[in-house]
Amino acid sequence: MSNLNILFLSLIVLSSILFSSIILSSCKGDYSVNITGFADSQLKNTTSLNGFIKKKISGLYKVRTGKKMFGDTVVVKWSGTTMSVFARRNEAYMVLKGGSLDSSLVFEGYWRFAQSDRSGNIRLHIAYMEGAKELLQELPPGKVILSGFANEDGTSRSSISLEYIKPLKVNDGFYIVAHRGGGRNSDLLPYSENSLEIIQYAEILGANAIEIDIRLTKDKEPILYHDDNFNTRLIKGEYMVGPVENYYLYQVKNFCTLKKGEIIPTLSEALEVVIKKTNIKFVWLDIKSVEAARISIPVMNNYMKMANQRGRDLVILVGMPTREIFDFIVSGSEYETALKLCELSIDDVRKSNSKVWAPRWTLGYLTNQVEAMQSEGRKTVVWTLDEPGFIRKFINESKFDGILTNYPTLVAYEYYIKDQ
Amino acid sequence: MNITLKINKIYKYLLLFILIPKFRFGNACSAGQTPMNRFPRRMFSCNEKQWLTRHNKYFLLLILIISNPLYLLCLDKDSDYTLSTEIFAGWSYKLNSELAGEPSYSRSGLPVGLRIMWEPDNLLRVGIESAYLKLSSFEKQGIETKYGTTNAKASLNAVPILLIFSMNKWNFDISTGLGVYYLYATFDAKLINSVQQSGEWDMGFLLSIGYTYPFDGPFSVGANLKYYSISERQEYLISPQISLKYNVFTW
Repeated sequence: MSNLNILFLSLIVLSSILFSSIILSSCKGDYSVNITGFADSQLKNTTSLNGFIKKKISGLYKVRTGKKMFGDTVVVKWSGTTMSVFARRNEAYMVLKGGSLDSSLVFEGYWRFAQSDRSGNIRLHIAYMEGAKELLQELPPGKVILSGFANEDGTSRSSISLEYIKPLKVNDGFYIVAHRGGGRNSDLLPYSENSLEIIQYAEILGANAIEIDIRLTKDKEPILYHDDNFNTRLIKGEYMVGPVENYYLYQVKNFCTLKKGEIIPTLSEALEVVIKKTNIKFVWLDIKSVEAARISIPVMNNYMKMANQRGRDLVILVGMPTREIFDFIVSGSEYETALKLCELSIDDVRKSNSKVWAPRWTLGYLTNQVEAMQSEGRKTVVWTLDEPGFIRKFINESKFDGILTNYPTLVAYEYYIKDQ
Repeated sequence: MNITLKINKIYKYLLLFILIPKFRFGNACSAGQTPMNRFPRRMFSCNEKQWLTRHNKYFLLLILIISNPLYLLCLDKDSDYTLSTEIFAGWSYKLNSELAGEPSYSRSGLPVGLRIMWEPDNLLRVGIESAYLKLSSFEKQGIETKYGTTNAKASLNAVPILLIFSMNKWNFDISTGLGVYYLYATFDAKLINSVQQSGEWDMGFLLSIGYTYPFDGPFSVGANLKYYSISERQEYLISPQISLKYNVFTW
C-alpha cells in the first residue's frame, strides 16, 4: 500500500473518531447546583418569626461588607416563611429561612449567582444590639444590621454585612412574571420548570406572576409542558419518546417525571396550587395549539370563579401567541368572557378585547402603543427579558406594566430599587 | 482527461482545502474586509469564503471521507473489490437506566441486523448497517386511569441506520458508524385496549470490534462487540454478537 493510502486511511480513522467525539460530547450531562446546607445548622433550635419581624426586616439594605459578591445595595423581601435577598451585582440572590435564637435572630440558606452555577451557603444574624432587641419586643428598631458570612463549596468564607436603609415600596401593580412557572431547567433552579414546586417557589424568586406552557395529551388533558416532544432536557422517562400528544395522561403520570423528579402537572393541578398555596396575582397560559385553547379555556374559567369566590386577587389569562389561536378564540362566542392576553398587534388586542397586550421586548419600549393600551384600561407585559442591562432600562425607561423573565430576582431588584 | 484523473484532481483539492487553512484564507482577503479579532483569523476572512468556513467544514470533511474509497478505486485499478452482506444476532444490555432495580424491568434484548459493506483491496471498508434493537421493557401494575385501574407494559426499541467505516487487518475489524436511530416506545395497556406506539429520529453512533473467520468460498463467520450510542437521548447499549458474512460478488 502506498504512503498516500496510509495517509488517507489514517485520516479516515481520525475523522471518524472526531465525528464520534463531536456527537458524544454533545451529550449534555445533568448539571445542577448542589446546595447542601450547614451541617451545624443553627435553625434547629429557633422559634419561627412573626409577621411584625418579617415586615420590619423587609427593605432596602446597604451592603457594608460583601460588595464584591452583592454590590452596593440589596433588596430584602419575605415570601411566607422564606426571606429572599436580591442584588444586581453578579445577578446574585439569597434564599434564607429564619428564626429567633435566645436574644438574636438567625437566618440560614443559600446564595446563587442567577446566571452561573456559583452558589454556596449563607448564615446571617441580627444581633441583640443591632435590631434584634426591638424586633423581638415588636418595637420599631432603630437600626437593623444583618451580618454573617457566605461560603462557596463549603470552603472559602466571605464576610457579609447588610445595613437597613428604608422599607420597600409597595408594588403598584407591576407584574414580575416568571417564565415557565418560575424559571428554566437550564438555570439550575431547585425545581423543574413547569412543575407545581417551581410555581410555589416563584414568589421566593421575586415573582408575583407566572407564565406556564400548556399542551394536550392524547386523551385531551391539558398538562404543563413546554416542548413539542418529550426529551431528556425536560424529563426523565425512557419510554417517553416523540410528541407529547401521542401519550395518554396515565402514561405521563406513571412513566416519567420532570428532571428533578416532580410529576408533570395538569392545568387543573397547577391552577389549584396557584389559588390555594400562593399569592400569585397573574397567570399567563402559553397555549401551544388551537385544541389546547379549546380545552383549557373552560378549565381556566372554572378556576377564575374559584379564585373570585375565595377573594383572591388573581387573573388567569389565555395567551394568544399565534394568528391561528387568535382566530380560533376570537371566532368562538363561548370564549368572549375568557380573560385574554394577546401577543399580536394592538389592533388585534382591541379586536379580541384582550385584557393584556404582550409584545416581544426586541420591539423596544413602544411607548405610544403602551400608553394607548393603558388608556383603554389594558395592561402591557413585555417578554422575555433576561439581559440585566435591558431589564434595568425597561424598568426605568419604559412604561410596561410587567416583564416576563427567566430571572425574576433581577427584575425584582430593579423594580424595588427604582426611584429609591 | 478521463474520469479517473478528474476525481483524482478534485480529491486532492478537497484535501488541500481542508488540511491547509493558510492556503485557504492566508492572504486572500482584499482590503477593507476586517477580520473579527475575537476569533481566529482563519474563521473570518473573505466574504465569499465565510459561508464555507463557518458552516461547512464538517460537511467538507464528510465529502473527503466518502470520496476516499472512490479515489482509491481510481488509483488502484488492479485491485479486487467485494460487496459483502453480513447478518448478525446476539444479546444486548442497556447500560443506563433510571429504572434499574425495578422487579418488572428488563434491559436486555436480542438484536438482529444487517450490514452491507463495500470492501476495496485495502484496509478501509465502507457500508451501511441497520438492526432491530430492543432496549428495555417495563411493566407497571395498578395504574389509576380515568378508565379504571389497569396494568401497562412499555418497551423501548430502536432501529439504527448508520454509515459504517471499517478497518480490517488480519481478520480483525474495527468499525465506527454514524447516523440516525429510529427510537420508539410501545405501550400495551389492556384497559385502553390498544397497543400504542410513539417514536422519533435521533442522532447517534456505533463503535465495534470484531473478528471474522473466513471459510473457503464466499462465507465467513465472526464475533463482534458493539457499543450503540443514541447520543441525543442518552441511551447506551452494549451488545456481543455473532455474524455470518457472505461475499455477494467480487470484481
